[in-house]
This record gives sequence, structure tokens and C-alpha cells, in this order.
Amino acid sequence: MECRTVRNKISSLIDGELSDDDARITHDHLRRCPACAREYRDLASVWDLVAGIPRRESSTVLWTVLAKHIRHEPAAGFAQLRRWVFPALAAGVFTGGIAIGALLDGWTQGEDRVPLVRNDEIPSQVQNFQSISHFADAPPGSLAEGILVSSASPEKRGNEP
Amino acid sequence: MLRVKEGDESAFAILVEKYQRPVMNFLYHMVSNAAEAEDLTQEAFLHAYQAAPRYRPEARPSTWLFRIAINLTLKKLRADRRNRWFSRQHFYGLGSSSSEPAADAKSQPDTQSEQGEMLQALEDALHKLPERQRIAVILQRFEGFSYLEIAEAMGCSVEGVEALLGRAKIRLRNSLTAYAPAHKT
Repeated sequence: MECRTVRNKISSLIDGELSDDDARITHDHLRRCPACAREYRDLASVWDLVAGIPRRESSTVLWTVLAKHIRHEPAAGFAQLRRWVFPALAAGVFTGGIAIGALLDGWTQGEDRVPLVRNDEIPSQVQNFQSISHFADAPPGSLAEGILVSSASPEKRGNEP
Repeated sequence: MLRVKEGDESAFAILVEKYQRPVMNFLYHMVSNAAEAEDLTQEAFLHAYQAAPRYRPEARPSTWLFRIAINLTLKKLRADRRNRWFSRQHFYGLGSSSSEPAADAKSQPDTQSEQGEMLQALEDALHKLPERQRIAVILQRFEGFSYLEIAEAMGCSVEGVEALLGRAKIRLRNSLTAYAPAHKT
């Protein structure tokens, strides 16, 4: 077996993860090859050191803390549902907001279409003009035609022969 | 675990009792902060309780639980990296990162015994390993997981675990050469 192949197996050999056959072949090579044997010793000793790193214990009694949470937690099914309900509600509120905005916009545009000046606010002169338009068919030379001509705009009067 | 799946609270209490130490230890060595590790341990068990209805009996409870803890840790470490990147310290180079506990210890070598120094060096070397290598090392060395169990917990192949641990050993050897007994003799 080549050194390169053995080096790839050293880690698994240290962890006892090689098959019996592979372990035997690798050990045979290590007995014959000082360089690979040194690599094995180095890695194995460092690996032993790592095992000496102290463990950390929890300072709290975990179960008492967890039990409180669990008893206040909704059932798993509801938790699943909740995962969808909140985004759905948010989407609904957003869409509703847009719809209300569009409605309000339509309403104000509708307002624009309502005459800004109500009929009762139209100046009396204009109302008179509307009423005198009834005399449009008045015969020439009649009083009605005179009223029509006098109430027309000065330009219109000027254009007349 | 099947009882937990059916919502048996006392069975979950037994599960917590059995695994809280290994999970806490794992998380501590991943985040290097005892308070954060305790919070993450609680979170991991709460996730486990909520995910219990989806537990499949073919998975070992330990690997299933550690898979949850691993996902939480990776999420946390990603968030920490993002926060560090956006932090003032990153932009202006002020202060050192909180995830590098080695700095303080190294600045006071005289106050520590040789044993303490070595332990600090070991923890530093472990902390400097890439995340996935660190996960594999902790599960193998501290929890005694087989390569197959590590592969299940990490969601990768046994060959992948072999490669991770091989590279981790070489990195650790390079960091800790001065402390290795084989070198001292």
C-alpha cells in the first residue's frame, strides 16, 4: 500500500472506523514506514489531547424552564397553522389596504366630477342668460331679439353687422 | 421518542434529562459562550418538542436531536457573521470580535499554569476549525458518535465525515504541535 493511501486512512484508523482488513494492512505499512508511523503518532496524540477539553455543564435546571414554555405553547397543529396564519393575515391586510386606497381614490375622483358650483350659486346674470336662450327663435325686430342682442358678449355684438 | 411523538410530556422530560448535557456541551463548543449555549439548548429542545410529530422512527433520537442543534448553531453562527460584518467594529476596525475568546487569554500568559495554557490552546485550536469540521470533531470526540451517526446528524455521507475528520486532525496537529506529547519526547 502506498504512503498516500495510508495517510488517508490514518484518521479512520485512529477512530477505530476501519474494517479489520484495512486496519491490518495499514498497521503493516506503519511498521515498515517511519514517516507514516510518525504522522500516525502525531495525529493520535493531538486527538488524545482534544479529548481532554473539559465539558460544559448546564447551570440551569432545563426541564423546569422548558416545562413552562411547553405548557404555554399552543398545540403542534396550531403552531403549524400559525406559521401560515400570520403571513396570510399580513397579506390580507396589505391587499385590503390597497383596495381601500383604490376605493377612496375613485370616490375623490367622483367628487371631482360633481360641479364645483351648485346651481343656486350660479350668478344671476348667467341664469338670466340661460333663460334668455329661450328667445333664440324670436322674430327679428321683436323685443325678445333686442334682449338677446343686448345680453350677448360685446365681441359677438361687435361682429354683427 | 415515540411517546414524545404522541405528546407524552413525561417522556419528553426523560429525553431532556438524558440529552441536555451532551447538547449543551456541543453548543458551548460551537458558540464558545456559556449563556448563548444555554439559550440555544433550550431552543433546541423546544424545536424538538414542536417537531416531534414529524419524527421518523428510523432515526436515532440522539442524531435527530443533534441535527436540530446543528441547524440552530449554523443559523446562529451565520447571523453572528452577518452582524459582525455590519457592525461598527467591522467597518472601523475598533475592538476585537466577541467570538474570539483566545485574545484575552493570550495576552496574560504569565497568570496561567502550563495546564491552563494548554487547555486554552486546545479550545482555541478547536474554535478555529471550520464549522463543519468542528461539528464532526465534537460529536466524535466528546459524544462518541460513530462516523455513521455523525453523517446522519450532519446530513452527509460517511465518506464526507471521514474527510472532515481527517482534515480536522491535520489542522489541529498543525495548531497544537508544541503541546503534543509525541513531539515533546
